[in-house]
Amino acid sequence: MFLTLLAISGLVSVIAAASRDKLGKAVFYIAATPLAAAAVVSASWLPDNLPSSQSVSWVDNAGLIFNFAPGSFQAVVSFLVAAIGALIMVYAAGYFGNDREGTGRFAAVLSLFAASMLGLVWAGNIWTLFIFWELTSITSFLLIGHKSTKPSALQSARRALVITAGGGLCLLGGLLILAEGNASTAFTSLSAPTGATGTAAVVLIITAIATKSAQFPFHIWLPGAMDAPTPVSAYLHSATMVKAGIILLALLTPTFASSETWSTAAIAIGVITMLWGAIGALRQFDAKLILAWGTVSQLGLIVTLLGLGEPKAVFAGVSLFVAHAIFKAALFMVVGEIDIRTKTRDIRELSGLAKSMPVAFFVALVSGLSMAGIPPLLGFAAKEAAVEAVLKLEGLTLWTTGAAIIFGSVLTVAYTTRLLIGVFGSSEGRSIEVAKVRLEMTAPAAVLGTASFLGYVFIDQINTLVIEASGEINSQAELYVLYRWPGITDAFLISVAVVLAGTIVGALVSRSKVSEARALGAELVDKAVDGTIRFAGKFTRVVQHGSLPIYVVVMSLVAAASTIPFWFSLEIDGLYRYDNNAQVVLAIFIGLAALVVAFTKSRLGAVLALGFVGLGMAGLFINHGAADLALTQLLVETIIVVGFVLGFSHLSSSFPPVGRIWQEIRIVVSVLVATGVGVGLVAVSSSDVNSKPVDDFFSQSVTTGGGNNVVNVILTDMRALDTLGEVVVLAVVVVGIVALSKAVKEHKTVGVER
Amino acid sequence: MASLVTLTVIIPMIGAAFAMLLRTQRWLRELVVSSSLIFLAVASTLILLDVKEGATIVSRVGGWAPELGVVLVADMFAALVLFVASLTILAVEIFSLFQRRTQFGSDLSITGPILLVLSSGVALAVLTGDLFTLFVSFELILISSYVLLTHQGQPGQIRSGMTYVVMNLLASTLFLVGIAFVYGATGTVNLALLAERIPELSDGTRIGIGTWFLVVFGTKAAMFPVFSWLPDSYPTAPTTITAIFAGLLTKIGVYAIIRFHGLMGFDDLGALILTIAALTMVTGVLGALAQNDMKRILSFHIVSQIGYMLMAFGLFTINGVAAAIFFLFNQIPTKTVLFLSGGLVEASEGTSSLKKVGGLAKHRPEIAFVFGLPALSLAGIPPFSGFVAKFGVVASGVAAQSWWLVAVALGVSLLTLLSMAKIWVGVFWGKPADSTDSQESSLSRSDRSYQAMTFAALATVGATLAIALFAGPIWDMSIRAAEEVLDSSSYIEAVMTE
Repeated sequence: MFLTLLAISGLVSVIAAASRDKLGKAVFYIAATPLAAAAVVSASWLPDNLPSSQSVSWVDNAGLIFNFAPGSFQAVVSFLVAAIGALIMVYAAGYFGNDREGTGRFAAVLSLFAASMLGLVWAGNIWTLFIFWELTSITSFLLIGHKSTKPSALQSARRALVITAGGGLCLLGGLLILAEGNASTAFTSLSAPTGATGTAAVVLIITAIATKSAQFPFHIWLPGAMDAPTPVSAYLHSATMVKAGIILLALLTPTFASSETWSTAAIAIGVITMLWGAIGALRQFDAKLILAWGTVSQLGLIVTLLGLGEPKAVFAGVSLFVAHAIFKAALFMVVGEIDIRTKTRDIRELSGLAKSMPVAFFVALVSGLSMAGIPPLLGFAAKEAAVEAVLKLEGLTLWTTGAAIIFGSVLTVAYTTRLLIGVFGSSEGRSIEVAKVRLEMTAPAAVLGTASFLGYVFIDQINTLVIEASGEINSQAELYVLYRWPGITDAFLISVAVVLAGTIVGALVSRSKVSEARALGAELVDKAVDGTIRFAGKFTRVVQHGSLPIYVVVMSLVAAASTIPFWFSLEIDGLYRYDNNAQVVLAIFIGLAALVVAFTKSRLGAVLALGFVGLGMAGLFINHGAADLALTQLLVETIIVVGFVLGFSHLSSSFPPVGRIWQEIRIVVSVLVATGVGVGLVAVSSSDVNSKPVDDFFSQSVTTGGGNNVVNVILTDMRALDTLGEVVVLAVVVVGIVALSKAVKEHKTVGVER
Repeated sequence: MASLVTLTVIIPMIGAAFAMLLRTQRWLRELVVSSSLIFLAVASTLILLDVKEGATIVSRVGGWAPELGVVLVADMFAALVLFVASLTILAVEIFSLFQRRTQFGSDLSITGPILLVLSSGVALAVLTGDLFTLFVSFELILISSYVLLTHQGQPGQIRSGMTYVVMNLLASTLFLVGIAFVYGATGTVNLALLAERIPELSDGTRIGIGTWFLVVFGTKAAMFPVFSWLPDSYPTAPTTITAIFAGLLTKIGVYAIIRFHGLMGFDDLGALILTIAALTMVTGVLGALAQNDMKRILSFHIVSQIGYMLMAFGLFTINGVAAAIFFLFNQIPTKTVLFLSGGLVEASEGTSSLKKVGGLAKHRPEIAFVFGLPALSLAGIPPFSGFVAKFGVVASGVAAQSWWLVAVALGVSLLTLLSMAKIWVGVFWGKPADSTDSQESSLSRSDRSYQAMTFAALATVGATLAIALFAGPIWDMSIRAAEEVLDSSSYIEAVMTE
């Protein structure tokens, strides 16, 4: 079933891509179908009718097996992802309207993203999750850069990719450590690694979670991602992509329940993110950016609650997870609609939309109040749970983490107030034209807006879901419930105070001039990336300088260095030196000739001297009784000398002058290589592993090969394959030379004609 | 089966000879070339299936005993590499059949035959169980690739061909000296016998032979610090040629390292190989990041990926060597198809410079597809085959607790993705280039040769996807290959038993 749903999504994606914009916005309805189906299927799993797991083998022996086994928590998330996804597709149809440009590509990538997200949610083991995790990084890169002629979109896409893919690599490292100590990689049967590697795993995994869920200091990609078309922001940055990290956090919480590092790290980044994000939201003027920063803050809150790991906190975290997915998607949708209909999202320019866009206003109001935690909305119940969880804390944690959560809530109310007043409030002297309504944009937003209210009305049903889901993360979380009306409790009084304080702050900030936040971190990342590229350039110019002589020197030195081990096997004493005096004479002769080759300035002289080297070799062969080898050698030498002399007609008679330094380098390198090879040859000669194969050649040459000349039998029979190969090499050389000379000639004639 | 192994080396040579004779009959010549390559592909498939079912196939060429003659050995490792290499060459041949018509100034009649010689050299290098025959195969590969590189006679190609041929001839010379070392020390050049005798040598001699051949094969593989010839020469060749070079040549160097150093049990060179691997990875990827031309970026990535294979191999564990083998298997088609996509960009836009091209995702989505999937695979993104390769490498690093290597591999992986994103942003996104000057050399989408090239490239993409799909069996085969490579006794037994 899992695989079928994913396959259908993939197929739809292919169809969308292949349709090449011809279908226009209809393509989004096609893309919505599998998601709607997935939503129905996920709904059938709730509240406790979980599907049996499905495994698909892949690289089983390397541990890579696809396994889909959603638990209660994952079933809830799966429903949210699929249902919101289907709504987003409808919304996208409205967003693009009659503009066909890029619809096919967009629908294709968005479907792929949705499918990857579903795969991630359904994952039953770490590698299934990882595989889909990486796919969401890539597809979101493509989505953020969808407006690909806009330089800032490209920059943002690259930034998001660097951060999330970097996180992915951390995750790979962390999970590999985790997998190393576990026989099974299923989430339900993992045990935490211990010791230093265990800590490393925790740090790596938490880092990955932070990058994906936009936690400080990795949150910077998220505001940039607002360059994407709004359907992307509404989907990726409400229910899905940014929740992926939290899903992983939740799934691994039981495994790392006893890890101090795990919870401390999660709480620390969660708290900082919550506050920093909220402050960021207060300083933005672009409504979409306010939401983006608000998302960062909300995610921080959820991470903090899950990081606390206390039953009540986990319960509140899951409740907020659900509420946030609903209200944040709705808010993004409204802002996108405003953008399309008024051509701006700047709260300094927007005015009076409460009257001109009543439905949007209603949806934004409901969702915004849910975000601020005001009844009668789902966000209220969830926020109450969070406050109660804070009150359960003790000692230092209460006064740090707890206080931070309360303070964060004040800021949340504040930026919500600022957003609502800024966008919908009327200000004198400003009026803004509003294009006519797009039903496909309004309707999905209205559905989600209503959902925030219905969630409150049907709180008992929501309770069943959240209790089951949070029970999976912490079994004791099942003890808690969401209240429609908690009564006048301590938590409620705190909430009232929070709302009052937040409203006042929000109202004050909404009209006052705040300095617009600069994306400091984003600039840093861009600079780091550009700096790396620049460094790469400098580095490469050094190692890849394009000078052949230097390459040759490097290689020769490396070769010389590689002979160092031979020194350790050097045994001069037992060395067999020579057979007879003629060899000594010939060796001296060859050596002298070689020196002449190296030092003469005349080309002809060098070639002749080289010929003498060959002659000396031939002499050595004769000395060993190999007359035909000597003959071959002489022939080769003669041909080479003749060939060189013929070639010299095009060159000056002496070598071009060489700089003094180069001359010295050459001498040093030559001596080093010669010494190395010499030492090597002496070392191998003293080896006693050498058995005597030559005798075999002599006998078998006659008996099997039928020839008395062993060299001939080797060349033409025993190693005939080698000979064939070398013959072919020579033939290719001839062909190459002919072709090259023809081609060069052709180039020259063409050059003249032009 | 044994004779089929020999024929995979011989048939392309014979085909080359016939194709040379048919220089003027274009279609007949192409027929000979194609059918020889099809034979190679079919034969290597049969060999792979046979080796998978049974045991190593040994062919004693001319019936001589291993002590005297040449043996060809098709074990799991050889069969895997031969299989993927021959299929890749076939795909490129189909691609180039149609591209050749558009190349200017080259003697078209020789590319086919020379390509066959190259194929035969590759087959020989993979199959040979003899160090000297390995040298011969390197010569075959070197000289045919040099001719392919320069036969168009453009000044840039001749200049870079100079670097290519000088560095590689130097490596060949070192190879010969190395053979002298080995023969002097052991009295044989047969790999199976060497696997018996080299471990018995005194440590200095043994390690000296190991490091020397690391330099020799490393130069072929473009390993740090002897890689510089590659990025200088590859980008200048005609695209199809570069595609083959990129896919095969350096991989043959890596193959030789795994074969030689694995079989001879050079475990104690592990630390050295790992260090070199890390340097190779980093240098390659930094080089890639610095470039602004698609083909140059891809050329540097060849170097970087070599580092991955060396790293996995350098661990000298079964899983590590298996990962290196899987990586190698996967790289051959992946690298090739990436260069083919570069060729398509050139065919479409007249250049592959990131600054002069743009917006191709919109008006040539098929190229975006041909580039995009293998690029993700190269960067090790799941569920593509490159991910399995990278996963295998990093997992074996974690298992061996080489933490700094794991860190380097992951960091390089990020930079790889970044440079792929750089190509994507530069070529496929952004504004279409107002290329008034390059229009004359570009092919329209309705052009038949453009369509055929796209088809061949898509087929190769299909091959890389098939690797992902069948990653499980391929991984299992890699494990078996790794076991055979590390345990020389099975190799020795296969070769020595009649």
